[in-house]
Amino acid sequence: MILSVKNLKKTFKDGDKALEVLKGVSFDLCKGDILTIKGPSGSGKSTLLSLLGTLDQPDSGELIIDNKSLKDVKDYDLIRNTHIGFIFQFHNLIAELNVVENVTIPTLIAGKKIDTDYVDELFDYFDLSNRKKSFPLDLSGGEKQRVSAMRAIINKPSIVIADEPTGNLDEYNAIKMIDLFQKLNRDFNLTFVIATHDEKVFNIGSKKMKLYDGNLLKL
Amino acid sequence: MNVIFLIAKRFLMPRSMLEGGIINIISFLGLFIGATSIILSVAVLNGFQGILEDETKKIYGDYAIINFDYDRDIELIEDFEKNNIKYAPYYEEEFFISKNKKQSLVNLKTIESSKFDGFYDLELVKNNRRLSHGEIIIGKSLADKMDFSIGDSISIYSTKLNMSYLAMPSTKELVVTNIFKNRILRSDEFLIFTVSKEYSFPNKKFTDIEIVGNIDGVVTMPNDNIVSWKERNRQLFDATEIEKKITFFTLFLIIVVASFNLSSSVMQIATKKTREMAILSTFGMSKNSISMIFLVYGYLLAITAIVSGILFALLIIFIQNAFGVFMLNPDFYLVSTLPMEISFKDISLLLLYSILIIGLFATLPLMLIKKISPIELINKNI
Repeated sequence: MILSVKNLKKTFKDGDKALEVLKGVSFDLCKGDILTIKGPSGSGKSTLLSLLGTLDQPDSGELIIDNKSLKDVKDYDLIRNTHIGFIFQFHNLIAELNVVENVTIPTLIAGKKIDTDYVDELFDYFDLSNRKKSFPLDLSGGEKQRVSAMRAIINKPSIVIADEPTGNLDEYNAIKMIDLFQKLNRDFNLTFVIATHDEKVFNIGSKKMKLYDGNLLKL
Repeated sequence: MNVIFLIAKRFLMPRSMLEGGIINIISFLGLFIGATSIILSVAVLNGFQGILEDETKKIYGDYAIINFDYDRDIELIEDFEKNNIKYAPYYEEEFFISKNKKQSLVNLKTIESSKFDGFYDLELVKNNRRLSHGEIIIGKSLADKMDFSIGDSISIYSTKLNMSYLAMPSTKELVVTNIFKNRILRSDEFLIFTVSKEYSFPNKKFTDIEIVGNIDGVVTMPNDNIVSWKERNRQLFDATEIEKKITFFTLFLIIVVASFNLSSSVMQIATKKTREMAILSTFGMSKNSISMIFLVYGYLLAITAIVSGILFALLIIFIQNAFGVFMLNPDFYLVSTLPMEISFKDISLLLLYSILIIGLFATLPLMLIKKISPIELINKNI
């Protein structure tokens, strides 16, 4: 099991009111699974992804990544750096860094030496070899999102979390992104957790779920 | 390259002026101007201090044995003789000079005749450095004031009360053979040089000895019996040192004010870069490392500005010393061009104090940055 989520609960407080966003979410993912989650706005998709990505901590419940429970973990930064890759709705590249620097940021944060052969292979794979020294401002929307996908997988994470990855792309680039996710899943046996409103993206899931009223429902 | 340094460096050189370029330039200029001002001002003070030192040494030598004691100091003199160190025994007496109702109090410095030639580096009106008994060299200010010229015979009257049997003060008749120009410590208003006739060292008439040259290898310094030219004129040189320190610290206030500006720049850049902070946090960078980016950014900006300011000041000093761009009136300032002297001690002090003060000011915004949680940043920005 690459990811095991057990009875995850999260409540936000708004003044005196308590808003129970997640009421006990549980699921398991094996390596190579693609979990797609849909749900209306405000249903808690982003909250769930934040908890899965260790950006926020649940009120209760347990998260096990790569057979390691995160209950006793103190350094969530390290978990994020080594086990989780993120792709956002907006590419969120750092404008001051060129493409290759943006891609290798997670490796540099880990304090590891850059494996240039591996980086070159990735750039070939993503068909961005001629854009290594370009800056994000000089890239098209599709290229930016491919760079952000490359950044997500550079540290060979256990899971890749994508929040509305095609939300900011036109249809052509959205389809290319969907193809890319499937290709990455196929070629690298990568595990994806994708939250989306886009039916085309939703349909690539090997496991499809809907978040409704704080509960995750299998479809 | 270290990721913190890489990102800090890139924040310092943004691709667009609006993305922090203007903020960086304003902060840079404040520190640059501060550093340039300090180095230039201190260089000018050092330059004048150097001239003051050189001119003082020309009149007073490098060292002196004041109140020479034969039994105590004869070994020193023997060491000077052995090592060819130039020394000149002398004694001083106060006299009045009077001419056409003008009067002046002067200090007659009588040097042992065999030691006078070439001992004092005097700038003389007439190119004749020889001086015999009964002849004097007077200062230009005194000559102008009393209307003396070379070749004039003048009478000087002792200020001591040991009157002669005729109840007249003892007098001397002397001939002006040369006029020296050295306004240091107003010496050309009161100092008169002459040489002894009937006494030769170690006659007890000679009370003091002036020494020219480096005696470090000959005498163990500090030596209670030997005083340097600086110690003899302590008040003046203490005053110049204090003036230099006050100038340094007053101008350092520019750096302090610029550091406030830097602090505000770090805060502004941090506020502009919350999205980037969130991205870095998402990919596993710790809060401390994110804070370090802004600290390094602040330091890179400040050190670049200060080092550039220092280099610019050094360039101006080099140009001034090579080409004498800034002219002065030598009648007032002793020199015809603005003197500038580089002090590596002052440059080191400037760098050290700047690093400390910038460290303090660049750290202040980090306290605020550390309070921001990644999830807040991500919810706001991503």
